Amino acid sequence: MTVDEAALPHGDGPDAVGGGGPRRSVRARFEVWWSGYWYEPMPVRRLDAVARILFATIIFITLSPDHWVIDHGDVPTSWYQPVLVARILQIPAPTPTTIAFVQAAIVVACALATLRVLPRLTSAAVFAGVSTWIIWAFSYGKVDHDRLTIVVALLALALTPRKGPDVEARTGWAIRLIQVTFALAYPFSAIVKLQTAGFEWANGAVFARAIIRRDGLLGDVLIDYPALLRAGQWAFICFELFAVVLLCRNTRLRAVAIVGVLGLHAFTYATIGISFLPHTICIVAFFPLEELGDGMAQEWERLRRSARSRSSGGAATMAASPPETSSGGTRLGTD
Amino acid sequence: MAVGTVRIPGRRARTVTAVTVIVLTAVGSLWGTDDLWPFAPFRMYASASRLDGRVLKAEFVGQTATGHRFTVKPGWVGLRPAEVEGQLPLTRPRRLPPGLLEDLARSWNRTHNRQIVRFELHLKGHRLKGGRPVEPLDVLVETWEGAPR
Repeated sequence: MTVDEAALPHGDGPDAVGGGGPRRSVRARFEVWWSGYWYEPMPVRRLDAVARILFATIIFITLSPDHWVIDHGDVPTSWYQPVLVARILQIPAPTPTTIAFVQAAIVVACALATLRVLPRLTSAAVFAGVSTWIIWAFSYGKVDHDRLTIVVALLALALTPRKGPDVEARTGWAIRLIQVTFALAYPFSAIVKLQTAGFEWANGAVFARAIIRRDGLLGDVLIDYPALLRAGQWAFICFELFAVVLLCRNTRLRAVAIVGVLGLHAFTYATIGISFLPHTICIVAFFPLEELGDGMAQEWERLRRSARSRSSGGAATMAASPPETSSGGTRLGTD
Repeated sequence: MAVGTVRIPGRRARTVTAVTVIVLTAVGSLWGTDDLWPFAPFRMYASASRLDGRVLKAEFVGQTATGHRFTVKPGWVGLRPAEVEGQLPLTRPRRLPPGLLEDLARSWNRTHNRQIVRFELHLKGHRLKGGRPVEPLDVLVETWEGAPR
C-alpha cells in the first residue's frame, strides 16, 4: 500500500472533500498529508522490536548509569525541590526503601513488557515507574533534557495495542510520535542555546567548560585546541538545526541526519562522557527493525539447514566408508 | 487496506495526544523552565561560557575535630555537582538556602565514622584564557561548623 492510499481521509478521496473551492481543497490536502504522515501503516513487529530494545535499555539505565538516582534516597529532604508534576501529584521525597522499590518495579515491569503480553498494561506500568524515577531524579535542582523522548515513547507504547482493526496504522502513529519527539529535541536544543546565549554560545568556551567539568577520553586531548573546539561548537549547533529534517519522510535526507545524529552523540560521549542514552536509543524507531528480524530468522534457518544437510551428508559418507580400526586412526561410530 | 477507508479506533485521541506533545514541547522549550519537566527547555550546556571566563564545579570539604581536612565529592552525599550548583542562586551572594549545608553535614555524621565539625562548600575549577585552562581556582562559598554526632 502506498502512503497516498493510506492517506485517504475516512473513505472520501481528495476530490470528494475538495469540491468546495480552493480553500476546501487546501484543507483536504492537509488532511490527506496529516493522515499519511501520522497513520502510515507500519508492521507491528517493528514496534515490538522498538519496545523490546527500549525496555532492555531502561533496565540497563536504571541499574547502572542511573545509580545516582538511588543515592537521592539518602539525601536530606530539605534538598528535595519537587518539579511541578511532583507537586501536583503530591509525590513525597524518596526514601532508600521507596526508591529501591521503584527501581525493582521498573526492572520487573520491563522484563514482563519485553514479552509483549498485555503490551499496553505492562507498558503503562513501565511508564508509571520510569516517570516516578525521573521525577525523583530531577527534583534536586538539576533537570537533564535527555528523558522526554523515552517518556513519550513509553506513553505511545501504553496507548498502542498489538491487535485489532487498523493496528498497523496505530502502530504507525506510535512510531511516528517517537520519531517526531526524537527529532524535535535537536532544533529546540539549538533554539534554546540561541535564546539563552545567542551566537556567543558557538563563539565561547562551552565545550572547554564541559570537558573541564567532566571526564572524557577525547576531551583531555582537545582541551588544548580552543579554535578546534569553537569550530566544533558551530558544527554542533548547525547540525542541531539541520536535524529537523528527521521530521520529513525523505529517506535520503533522513539517512544523512541519522548518521549525523549518531556522529554527534559519539563525539559528545568521547569528549565529555555524556551518552544521552535514554534519548539516543530512541533512534531505533527510524529503522525497519522487522527486516533485521526477518534477515536474522532467514540466516538462522539457512545455517540450520546447512548444518542438517552436512550432518546427513556426513552420515551418508560414514555409511559409505569402510569401518575404521581402533588402532591409530579415528574411531567413529563404535563408542 | 487503505487507512482512511476504515475508522481508526481512537484516532481523535491519538491526534490530540500527538499535537499536545508537540505543542507542550515547543512551548516548554521556548518559554518554560526546568520546573515544567517533562516539557522543560533543552537547557543542558545551553548557556554561554566566555573564552576568558571561569569554569567551576561544586565540591565539599570536611574537617574532623583533629583538624584533618578531606574532600567530599557531591556523589558521596547523594548529589550530583550540578544539583548542588542548581540550589545556588544566580545572583550574589551565592549561598545555599539556610539549613541545607548543615543538613548535609549532619547526614554525613549520621552515616560515617569519620565525624566532621566543619563542612565547606567550594566551587573548584579553572580560569580560562582564550578558551584554554590556565589557572586552578578554588572559591569558598560557605561553611558550617558544629558538634559531631
